[in-house]
Amino acid sequence: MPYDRDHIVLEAETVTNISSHDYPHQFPGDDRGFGVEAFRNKFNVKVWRVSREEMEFDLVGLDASLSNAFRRILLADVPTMAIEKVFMHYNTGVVQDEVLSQRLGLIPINADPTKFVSKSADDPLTELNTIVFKLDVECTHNKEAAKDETDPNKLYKNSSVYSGHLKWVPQHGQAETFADRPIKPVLDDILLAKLRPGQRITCELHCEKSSGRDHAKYSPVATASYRLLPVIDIKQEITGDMALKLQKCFPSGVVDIIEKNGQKTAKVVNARKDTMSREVLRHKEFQGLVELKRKRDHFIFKIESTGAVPPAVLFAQSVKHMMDKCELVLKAVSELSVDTTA
Amino acid sequence: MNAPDFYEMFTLPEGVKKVAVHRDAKQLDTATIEIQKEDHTLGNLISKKLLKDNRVTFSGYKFPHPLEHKILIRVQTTEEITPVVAVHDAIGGLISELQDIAGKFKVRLISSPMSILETTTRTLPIMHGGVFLYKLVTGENQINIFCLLT
Repeated sequence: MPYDRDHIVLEAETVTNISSHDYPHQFPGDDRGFGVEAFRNKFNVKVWRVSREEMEFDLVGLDASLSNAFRRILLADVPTMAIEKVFMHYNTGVVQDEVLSQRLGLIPINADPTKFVSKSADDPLTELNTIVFKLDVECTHNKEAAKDETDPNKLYKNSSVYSGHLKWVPQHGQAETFADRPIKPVLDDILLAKLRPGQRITCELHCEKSSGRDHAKYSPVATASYRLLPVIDIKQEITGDMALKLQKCFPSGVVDIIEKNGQKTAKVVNARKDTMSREVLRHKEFQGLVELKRKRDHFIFKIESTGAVPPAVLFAQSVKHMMDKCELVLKAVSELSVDTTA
Repeated sequence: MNAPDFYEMFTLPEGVKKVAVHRDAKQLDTATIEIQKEDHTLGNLISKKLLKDNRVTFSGYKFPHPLEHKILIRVQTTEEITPVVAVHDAIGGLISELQDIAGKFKVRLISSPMSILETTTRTLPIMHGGVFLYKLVTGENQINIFCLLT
């Protein structure tokens, strides 16, 4: 059997053929050297789902190093705005200042990060590097509540502090700049603290721009991940009860039973849905009949945004970011080659 | 308290060059390229790209210490080119790949039917992150989404 360069093979106990052989000098007569034209012909994108929060798309025909670079950049390099400084005036609730501040920091802020610049420690505050929020919540008795009421939400007013309580305080020109999309938390129902009558939280919050490298709260994604496309190879026709059993080894929709020559025959219809549980490899009767593989250069990418920036935009930004990085290094390397020749 | 400043991760100190070359004293066809303020993201990428070059015989990288924000890429080449030229070509190739990826992503996003877009842009267009994102309504409720890199 010729050596399979394009697939990773899943066996019952191990995963084999992991390392990429997509390089020159690996197999006689097979070049696979780098060529931009070859990449262009091979590379393809398919978008499966897009929404404001989530996106799933396929990147086909690229190396894992590139795919992983995008993932890393999405997690740690694409900047967003997040609460960085909390000026606590009153906090008489049970949630301590530092715990409350930590919770506030993690709130995703719906503001376009490209409209801001990041602020270093000694920079003065301007409308370009800071967003100001005010939080002022006091819990009181609800006089209209029924006498025998036990639900704190009805018994008291403001017994729960939510992200929706944050009030944006526009600075200088911010009100006009963001008139079409006022700055606010992405979600209004994130519970921050609970209060009881007489307790109060009053603070001023400053948001700054930074990236996930600094603190995870700046990461624009809840997660960004990829997996390789599953491939299920049925080597020999599987019919009758065996076919039904095979179908049960996979999640629904992966294997279908079709009528072929008057016999029930198993057919893989959507390997993409498979979770690669390897259940099929546990059954002796399928030994040698079914092979589980993953396609080495087919990445199923999933981006889950925190909601501040749409995922499609995030990916575009990550490619841009990568390009900027490369151009910076390319410039430095070009200067280097001039030096060495001189 | 004695934590290193966050900006040390990506700002180049004055007088320090982004890229430096250390030639191997014993092997003339080998050099170590030191790139400041970069990590696995670029290190792995460049070293893997170098391997695809027919004229490169060895390439590997290391990120020597988590608090030293630099990478070392070791490159050995055949007589045809020098390691510096190999790195130059690899990054040049990477940039054209990235342009292709950005281009194709944009095209596929435009052509993805609106039925798979659950809740998208409410106002049109939305300027977001240097990218215009807006939906376009054409005949028979065919709606497309546009994403333009600026």
